Amino acid sequence: MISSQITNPKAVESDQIKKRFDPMGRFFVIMICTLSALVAISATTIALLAITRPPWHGSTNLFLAIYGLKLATDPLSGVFLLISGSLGVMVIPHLYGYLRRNHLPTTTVIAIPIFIFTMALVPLANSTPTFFFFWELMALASVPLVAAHPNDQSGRRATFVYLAMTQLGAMAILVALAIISASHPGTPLAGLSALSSRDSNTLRSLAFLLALIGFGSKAGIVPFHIWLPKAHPQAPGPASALMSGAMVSLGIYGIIRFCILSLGTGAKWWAITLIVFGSITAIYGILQASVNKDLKVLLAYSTAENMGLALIAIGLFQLFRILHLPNLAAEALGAGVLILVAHGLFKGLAFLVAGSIQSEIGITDLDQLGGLAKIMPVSTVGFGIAALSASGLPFGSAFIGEWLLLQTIIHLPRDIGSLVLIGPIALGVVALTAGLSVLTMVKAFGIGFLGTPRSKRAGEAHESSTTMSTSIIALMIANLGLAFDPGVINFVILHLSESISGVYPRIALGSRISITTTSSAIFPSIGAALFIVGAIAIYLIRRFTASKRPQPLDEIRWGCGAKELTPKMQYTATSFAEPLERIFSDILVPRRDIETDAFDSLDLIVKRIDLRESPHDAIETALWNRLARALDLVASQFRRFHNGSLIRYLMLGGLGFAVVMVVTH
Amino acid sequence: MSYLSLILQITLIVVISPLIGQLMIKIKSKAEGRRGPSLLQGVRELGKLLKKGEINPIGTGSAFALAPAIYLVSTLVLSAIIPLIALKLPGSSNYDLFWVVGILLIGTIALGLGGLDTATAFGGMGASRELMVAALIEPSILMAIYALSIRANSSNIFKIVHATLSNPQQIASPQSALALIGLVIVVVAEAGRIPIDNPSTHLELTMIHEAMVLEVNGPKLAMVKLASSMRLVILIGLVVNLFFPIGISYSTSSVGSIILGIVALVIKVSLLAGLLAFVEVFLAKLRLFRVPELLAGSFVFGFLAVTASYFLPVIKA
Repeated sequence: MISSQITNPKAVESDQIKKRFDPMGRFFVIMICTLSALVAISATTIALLAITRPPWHGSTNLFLAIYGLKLATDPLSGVFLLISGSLGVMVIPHLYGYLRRNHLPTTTVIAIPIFIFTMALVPLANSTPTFFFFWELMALASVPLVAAHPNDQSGRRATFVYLAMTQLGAMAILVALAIISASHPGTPLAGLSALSSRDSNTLRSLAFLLALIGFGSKAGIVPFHIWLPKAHPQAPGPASALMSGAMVSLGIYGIIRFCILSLGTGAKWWAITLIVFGSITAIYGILQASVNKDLKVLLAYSTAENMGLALIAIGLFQLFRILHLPNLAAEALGAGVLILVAHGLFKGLAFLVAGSIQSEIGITDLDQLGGLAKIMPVSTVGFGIAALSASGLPFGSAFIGEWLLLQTIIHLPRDIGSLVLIGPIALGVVALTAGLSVLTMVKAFGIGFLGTPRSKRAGEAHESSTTMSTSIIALMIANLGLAFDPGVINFVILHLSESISGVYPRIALGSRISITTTSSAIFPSIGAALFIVGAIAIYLIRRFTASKRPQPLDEIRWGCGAKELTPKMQYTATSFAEPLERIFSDILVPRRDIETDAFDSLDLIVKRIDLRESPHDAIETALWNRLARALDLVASQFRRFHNGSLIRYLMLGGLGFAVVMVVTH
Repeated sequence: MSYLSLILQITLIVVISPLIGQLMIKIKSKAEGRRGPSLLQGVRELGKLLKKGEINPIGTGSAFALAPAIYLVSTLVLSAIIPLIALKLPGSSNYDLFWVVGILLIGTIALGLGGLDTATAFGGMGASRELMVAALIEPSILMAIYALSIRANSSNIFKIVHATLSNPQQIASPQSALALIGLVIVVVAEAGRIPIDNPSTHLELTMIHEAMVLEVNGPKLAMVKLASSMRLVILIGLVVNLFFPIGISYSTSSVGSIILGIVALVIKVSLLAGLLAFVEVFLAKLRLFRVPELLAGSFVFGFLAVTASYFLPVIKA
């Protein structure tokens, strides 16, 4: 795609690599983890205060000399602070274990606490300059996380793509923020909503679209998602957990804060744009996830899917605000927040397990994994719970949010004219996404953790260290807690919607979740109790009838006539998803390469057939590669002016300055 | 009494499902000019399997060992959360249709993971195909639920049946007919019947469900077989009660109405199952890659049903 070189590979000799990747000292790692833990714990504390206490704001001129540093808390910032803070706290033990076992570049390690710190400050910013400052700081702090393998080709490429996408987004955000703050100079972010409606519609629409592009690129909204599947496999496990569980959500925060709240009640097409982008992202994300075979790539695409679902909820929230349906709007927002909170927890968990695999086995390609259930039991159970949640099934943490989203959709009022068509379309998208995510997660879990190991390294692995497992267990408990009693974050939803729309959502969150105005309700604990009763009954029957049966035998599996089955005969992630790839080949456009080798010239008897098939991102090749080539073409024209002559540069600089002066006057 | 009727409902499903499955085979055989096995054949087979010793395929783990049990438990749970004989069961206010679909999927997933855990090509193939069908069913089934929930203003399954019962004219509306067609296709696909899958073949490369459970044997196979036939009966029972809830007991207080509910359910399920079996005689199994087209058709019916529910006037009694 975009050709670039961050470091010259030949210049880095293997001795230097060793020096740079010195085994990390215990003291250094403890320092980094303590620092990260302190930041994460204080972020969580501030988040809880921000949600429950009345809004607070403060400013200082110490830091940013020109504009001053303006910070504020309100429930909305609290929610996102809570997501990143709590995930940060739970990730720390895993981070410690990971850093002790793996040698990462020092910059990557130092960037981790800075990254958590800036991630916490983004939602707290209360002026456009402060916001942009921390946003950029967060983006920059996350780049070293991706650049954890600077010596391999794909690692450098991933870093470059990530940097390019994040800066493209930042530029769009900068212009959008400039438009917003130009019409209301000095207004704090929290106070923008009431003022904006009087501005010209074209300008506001422009700001809306730019902000959507900018924040969408952070949230992995299609077509700005291409960095996700590249960056996540590069970043160390705990860092990808934080990036996927928390940083990506901040893109949605930006969309809520700027596209919806700051720009005031917009046009209906704004909301529809959000829903359409959300739908495309959800379906494209999960389709790509279902055909990809690298565990971390799969999880990255699934992140895009979840952000798409959240965006659908946010779009509905916006739509209901425009239609003056505050209660439904509050419910849609509640659904969106629950999806994001659950996503932080289950995706954090899944990425931590992927990190354990990365650290213990060194492979995340599902086609070379398998049989981990027997050797990594904690990680297996952890991934099982994460997969259950990610599939949006009952007893998983994501089910609550998706159920609320479905409830919001099916309770669309009849009297909104042709807009009711959004209902069946959105429901179709959510349902297809849910179905495909079930398939994707069964694939990830069944191929990666069950069966027999497909490679020697996978067969010789061990469970990750106790500290790493601590994080995994903590997140497992958090996921189950949210799945069975989402009442724990009831206060978040209540305070948030009261502060934003002034009404409480008609959702009763607790161990029984219901929409109070309708009779729709779910009660996960009762469902689980029924399962336990049924399981006990079956166990008793089996025990009771066991004496009538001969002793169980161990026998080889049926091998279609072959005596022993080799691990290679198992289904792989690629073959598992093949039917789906075929069905959706119009969207996925898989690369397929068949070579036939015949005995005779007539091709009648085939000696061997080579089939190579790999999924690839059609949007990347169709859109971004072309864009990059076009950019390259334009750049090569401009390069003519760069002949190294100082006089020419000075002249051009002066000319440019003059043009700016003329235009602004 | 309400707990008793719950136990009655579960027991009823467990008891009649092998018989209904056999009834379908009998009807198919008759229509094809054969005598067919006795109606009790299914029960006898279950008994035979229960007496057999278990064979543990070497190399399989706990997922394979647990899958049949989870499949059966999820099916038992399913039979406890659906209005089959009575409109009020313990906990019925919490049984949402989306929840029911989720429980249905959990069973499918358990079996799929069990298939993958055998580490054989057959297990993986079956799992891959079964989950592909399950993934593509999801939009159709949720769309049909959406269409049904609009008229009841709730996705609670007991409320939907109640709404149909208290306003039976709605059944004759176009939206109901469209939703019914969509749901019937879904049931056929979910239960693995022709034209999606052929439950009576073994070792055929086109099979789905049977490939997944190829290594399952003895009492575990009995569990899978029982659960599969139960799922078919439950799904048929769900569809008949969503559209023709005649005879279902309003409450669980009177013994007479419960008995009536049981009788009505058995008759309705037998009729629809018989009809399905009879229609199957004239159909061939679809090629696997044509299945998505059928399911897309079902999705379109659901979509039209939803749109019709919004735009057509409501029929009131």
